[in-house]
Amino acid sequence: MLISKIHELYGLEQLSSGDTCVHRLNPTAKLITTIAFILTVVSFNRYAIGSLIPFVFFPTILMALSDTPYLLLFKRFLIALPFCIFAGIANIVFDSGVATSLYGIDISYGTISFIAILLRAYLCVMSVMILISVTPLSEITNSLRCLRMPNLFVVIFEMVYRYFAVILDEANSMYVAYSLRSCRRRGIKMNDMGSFIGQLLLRSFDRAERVYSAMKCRGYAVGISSRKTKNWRWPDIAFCVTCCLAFVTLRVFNIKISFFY
Amino acid sequence: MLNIHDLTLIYPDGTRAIDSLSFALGKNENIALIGENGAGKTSLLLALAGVIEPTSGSIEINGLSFTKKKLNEVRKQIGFVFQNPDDQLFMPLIYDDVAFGCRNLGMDECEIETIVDETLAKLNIGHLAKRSSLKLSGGEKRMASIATVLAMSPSVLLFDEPTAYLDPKAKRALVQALNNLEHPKIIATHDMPFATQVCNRIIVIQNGKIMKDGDLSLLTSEELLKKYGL
Repeated sequence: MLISKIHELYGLEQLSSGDTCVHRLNPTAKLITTIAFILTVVSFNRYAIGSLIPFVFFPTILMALSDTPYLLLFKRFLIALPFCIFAGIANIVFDSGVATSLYGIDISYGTISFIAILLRAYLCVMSVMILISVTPLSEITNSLRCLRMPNLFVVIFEMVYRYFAVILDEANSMYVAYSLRSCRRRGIKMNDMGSFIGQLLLRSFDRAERVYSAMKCRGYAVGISSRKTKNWRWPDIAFCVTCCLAFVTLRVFNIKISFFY
Repeated sequence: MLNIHDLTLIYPDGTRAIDSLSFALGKNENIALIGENGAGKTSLLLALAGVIEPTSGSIEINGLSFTKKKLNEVRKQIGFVFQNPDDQLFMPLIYDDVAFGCRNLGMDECEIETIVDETLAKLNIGHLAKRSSLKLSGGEKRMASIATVLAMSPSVLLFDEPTAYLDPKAKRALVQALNNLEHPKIIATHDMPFATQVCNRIIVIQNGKIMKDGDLSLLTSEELLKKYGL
């Protein structure tokens, strides 16, 4: 049911109220480190599996320190997995040159780049999800503003995140009402899809208006952060500098953990 | 405390939701705004909360006039509890929802924590602080939505159909909670027994106009209620 998806969606953010050393770090430090991590990971060439493996330690250590349940994050990564497979599957077909052999089995360049895409996606998605699970959204958007991200972009990001649940909630109510009157047939008939989606948009718009009114009534003003910026402390600087230096070192010296490539 | 003078609200489609309406809310008054569906109760509350701009007329709270420039100051003074609590609970945790208004007022986190704890305790829902609104019952959601506005220490409370979606037990808890609050209140409701338990003044609205304004005895006249579609 869609309602359980809404629970899942916000389940991750609920973890951000924890109180571990990672939670206590300055949100801007966490954001900069995550961005640096992602930029480093995507900067490797398409066959660099061995070079990517050391980067697995970053999300693993953060998850352990922040008491974030691995399965919860991995389930969400599985949602992104089909897109990664779709993006990389063509490599196996078109890049068929043999790169190496493992126990007598030829491994093509395409297969290696496909695995590298999966690994890269895993690292990027996990690092973002860890960031969300250890930092409240309002602090992330506050940090984006501190980093001079255009305000329009930040506001859109905030609104999309908030209203996504509104749309899912409306879709759930409509779907339940639809299925109860369609002899419990699974899914929505194509003939009804147009009006269903149209109604969903109208209802979501109406509901979003009310939610926005409630936010305005409680002093919300577009583009003005509702949280005060946290000051940088020595542990924040140490975390940010150490991690960024480690990423640069791994990238520049291209330290590999490799079995076959 | 709250003065409404000659207030008119016409929607862009030409519907006259409120028509030259005037009344004042005193310090110890709890007004029940009653009227048939479409009478203009919610429109009036939305105008009082500064959500929609009236076409003409004036609203004043504690000497502060409603103008675009002063809208944020006005909103600090008025707490509006929406009909559907889901509209009001949009943060991942109830704690964050209650803290939302305080953060917008620029309070620091220590102060916010104290206020949130006190507000939740006042409504006996301290145990909900770390829970998601998605997993609460209707009654709990209603209490949480009241807490979200109480945390901002408003001067006046507005309620739109507060007993909607509530079972009798939750309704009793709501009556008790509202009676414990000293704030003057304006409550739009169809629930007459509830109105008699919480309010001391009745305003009957029809087609955006005040038809009757008096004490609780208004509710005892069945003929009168029928006349105004109640």
